[in-house]
Amino acid sequence: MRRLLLQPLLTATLILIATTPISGLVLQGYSFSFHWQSPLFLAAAAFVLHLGLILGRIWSRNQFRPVAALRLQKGAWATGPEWRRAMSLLLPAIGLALPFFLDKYGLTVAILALIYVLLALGLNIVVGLAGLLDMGFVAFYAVGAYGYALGHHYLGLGFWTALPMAALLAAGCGLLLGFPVLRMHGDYLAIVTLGFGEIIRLILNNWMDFTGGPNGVQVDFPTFMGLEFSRRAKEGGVPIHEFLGIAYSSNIRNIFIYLVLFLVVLLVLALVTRLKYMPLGRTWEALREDEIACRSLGINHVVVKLSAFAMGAMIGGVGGVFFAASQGFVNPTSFTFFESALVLAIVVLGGLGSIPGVVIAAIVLTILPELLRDFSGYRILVFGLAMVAMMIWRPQGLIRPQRRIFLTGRH
Amino acid sequence: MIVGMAPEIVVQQAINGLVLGATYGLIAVGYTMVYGIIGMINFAHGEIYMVSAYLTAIFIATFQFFGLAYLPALLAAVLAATVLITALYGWFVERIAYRPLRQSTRLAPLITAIGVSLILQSYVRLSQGARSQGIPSLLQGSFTLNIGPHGGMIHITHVQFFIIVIAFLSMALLTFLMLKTPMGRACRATEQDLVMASLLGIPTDRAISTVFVIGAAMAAVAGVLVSLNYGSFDFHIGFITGIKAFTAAVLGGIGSLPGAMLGGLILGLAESFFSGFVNSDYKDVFAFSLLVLVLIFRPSGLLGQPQVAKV
Amino acid sequence: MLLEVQNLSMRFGGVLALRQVSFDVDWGSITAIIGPNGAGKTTAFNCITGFYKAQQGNVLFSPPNRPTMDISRMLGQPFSWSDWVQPRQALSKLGYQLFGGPHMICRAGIARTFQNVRLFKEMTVLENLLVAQHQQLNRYFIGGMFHTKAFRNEEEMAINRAMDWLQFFGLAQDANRPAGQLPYGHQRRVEIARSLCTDPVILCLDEPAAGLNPHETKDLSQLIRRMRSDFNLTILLIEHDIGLVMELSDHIVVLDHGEVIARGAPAEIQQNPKVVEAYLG
Repeated sequence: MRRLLLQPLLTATLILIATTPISGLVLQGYSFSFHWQSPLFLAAAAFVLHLGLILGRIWSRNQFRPVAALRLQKGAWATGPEWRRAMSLLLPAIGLALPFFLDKYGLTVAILALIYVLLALGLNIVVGLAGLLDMGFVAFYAVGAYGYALGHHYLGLGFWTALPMAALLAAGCGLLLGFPVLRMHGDYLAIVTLGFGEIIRLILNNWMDFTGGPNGVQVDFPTFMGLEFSRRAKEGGVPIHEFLGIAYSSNIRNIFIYLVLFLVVLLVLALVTRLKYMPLGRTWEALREDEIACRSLGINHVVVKLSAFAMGAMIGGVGGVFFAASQGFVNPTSFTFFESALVLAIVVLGGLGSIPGVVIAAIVLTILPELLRDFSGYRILVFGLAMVAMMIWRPQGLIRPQRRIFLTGRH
Repeated sequence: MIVGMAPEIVVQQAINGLVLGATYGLIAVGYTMVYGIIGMINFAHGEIYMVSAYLTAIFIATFQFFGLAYLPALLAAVLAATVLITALYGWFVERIAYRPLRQSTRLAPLITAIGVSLILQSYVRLSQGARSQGIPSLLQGSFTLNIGPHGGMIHITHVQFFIIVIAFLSMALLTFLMLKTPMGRACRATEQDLVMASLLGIPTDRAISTVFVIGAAMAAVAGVLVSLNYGSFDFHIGFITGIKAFTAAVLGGIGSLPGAMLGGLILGLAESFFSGFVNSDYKDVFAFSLLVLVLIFRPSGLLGQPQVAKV
Repeated sequence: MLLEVQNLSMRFGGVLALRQVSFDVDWGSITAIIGPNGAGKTTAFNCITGFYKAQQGNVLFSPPNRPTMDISRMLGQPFSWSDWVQPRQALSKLGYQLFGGPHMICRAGIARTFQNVRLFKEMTVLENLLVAQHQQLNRYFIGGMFHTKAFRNEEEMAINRAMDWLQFFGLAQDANRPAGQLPYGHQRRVEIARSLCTDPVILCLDEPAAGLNPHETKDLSQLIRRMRSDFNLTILLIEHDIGLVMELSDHIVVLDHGEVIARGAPAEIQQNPKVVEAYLG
């Protein structure tokens, strides 16, 4: 019993010592004020946490754990259980109907959530499947957004032209970044991609003549088959509410963006799900598991890594185009390292490599902070804590990725 | 560019670069030692440096409040207190982000370390507020030297002089610790071969903790020195400085102690010349590009040894 | 000669790991490389399979009905002055430098296993074998996206091929288990099955019996023999278990301190005084 309490007490003391200066003594100019409660609170929290960990360990030691039984799925090409097929029809229907029931604010949040779904799916390919820790993913997001914004500004590109072009541009940037970093392993790759993300942001910020620097660039709103979404159309154009004969509402534009975005998300979802079971996706996972073994099997790791980078970057770029379209304006503050960390947190929490997990995590992590506005200051703290906790206790993510089972009839 | 410049401006920039480089070198020590012993990058190291900058300001305010006015004593006390508390933070980082994952995949500790750096950043922001903070300028004045035939003047501020002296002393102390003490021997043995060292009864877990603590302490020294020099900081500084110090570590050859210092000095000089003579807006871009170039063309750095991948 | 190793030299820092090593591997033979610890067996092996670049020497590979290949060239050689005069040679060097490497060796028909088993642990056994068939599969993006008939047929053929090998190794019941969860002996066999899925001419086994019990070792030696007789494979192996080597191989190469000290049939090797000295002295 004494030993049980001793360690947590030690931890609490150390936490008290460490946090007293930072959280207890708060700088006021060159002077300071003393808040004795916060370090005590932190120390108490550390005490409880450590005690809980020890108790948990004792408890789990006394538990008998059978080896996880294997769950069999139907044949090699079966579509999975009935409920899953029903869900795969129901969820898109709900998603498509959703914007008509949301107010302006709700729509903005929903669009943001979908953009993060895209980003997370893109990063999931790079980090989750191919095992390449890309910490500058925001760079591709920025390339997509600025590709559209600058393309519109200088070349007069519309949304529909910019979408594929920005996607290709981002994929090209992915290749460009991928090529030099191929020979590096995990950690180096992480820091180089991080540097690359910062380089892009700094260039966007400093190249005043071309990108407008911190002032950003205006983006034209998208049109649909020549119809515009503003109250009054520009010369020669027709606003869509007149065309449809309905009253003007500022929501129409966002509903449109939402619907297009939703379809794109579905498309990307189908793409990545299929990819997982194609030779290419299989090699990504194999590369994550063991690069040397991959090469011994005749797989060119250069091509495989580059394809993962390019595919992830392309999806990120598409996300960027939608971001620019929905905001109507882009500037470098939207593309800081924090965005990369956020998308990484989403992928980690959803479970590296698990597609449904990542989608759910993206939606939850975008909507939850909006609901908990009052605690917005604690958002990053909670993300950080969650990342650490997940990696230690559930490295597979909240939803464990399932492996496809092949029934071959031969045993 | 430099050829056409007046010599005193070049020398002045070189001195500024050396001072900057000395602090990069101190932070780079943490990266290089941790990489040497567990083969991983300590992503939270930049935030440790940021914490130490805050601690410096807090301790200056506290000690002055309690009436410690004699400058050398104040500086010594602040340095000691900051180093101690920051070292404690370094120890926490290892315990939380690295030790539970020793048997895990390579990706996992990287992600926990990113998590810890997010925690540290928001912890400081929540406690101290988002605005930038400052410290009073304690060391004022400068030495002025006459050089060159045209009577060109260069200035070395007292703070700059202090930085060079303290950085040199701490590196000397560190070298002594690593080469001459049992603790240093244990660390070096663990660095050579972790499994073998643990079979020989060396407490490898403790050696790894020690390395994190030493790295944090060196970052704290840098934190104190940089804060004294610039006087202001915010909770963002860890990120950029962290990458630059990492660049220094890679430049010198990651895993090598003298390499870290050399890399720091080279990076500091390069950055100082670049921002002085080319373009100061892009000095961060320059540093990052340098990192990418070194990693592509000479990943083993200047003093590191090229490694053959084991099959 | 299927494989000719000529004057291979390899240096790590100051250590000369291989010194002018030469030996041949006959088509359809079982050749073993033996030697005391640190003799350079694994280094030689890695040079042949392309994981190390030897500083000197050549490895020539002449599979039946195909032109002879030089393995060191496929790994990417450094440029030399003569490249200025022969731009075609320079171009091919550049191509190999950018895209060459161990994977080219495997595609040429040399498959290998590893001393410390390297499976894709999180993936199932069957998936491990499917990854190995990457080169032979339909990799067209559109086909996979829309699950076309051609794509499905090829996938099913790949699954069948994988199951054939698993049955050969008695592992069919493990097909859907994560590879990392299998017992060690099974993992070794999965690795051999996986390398066979690349459809090799010559199979290189790096200490295949390490960590196996006597019973498993016996099974293994039978499997190796059957691989040769049923599938016309040539086998090159490194092995510590002298009993297994003597019983199995047609030809033995003995390395010591990075040099070949003896070559020949098992009976000759047993009599060779140099070999006895290297092992006992």
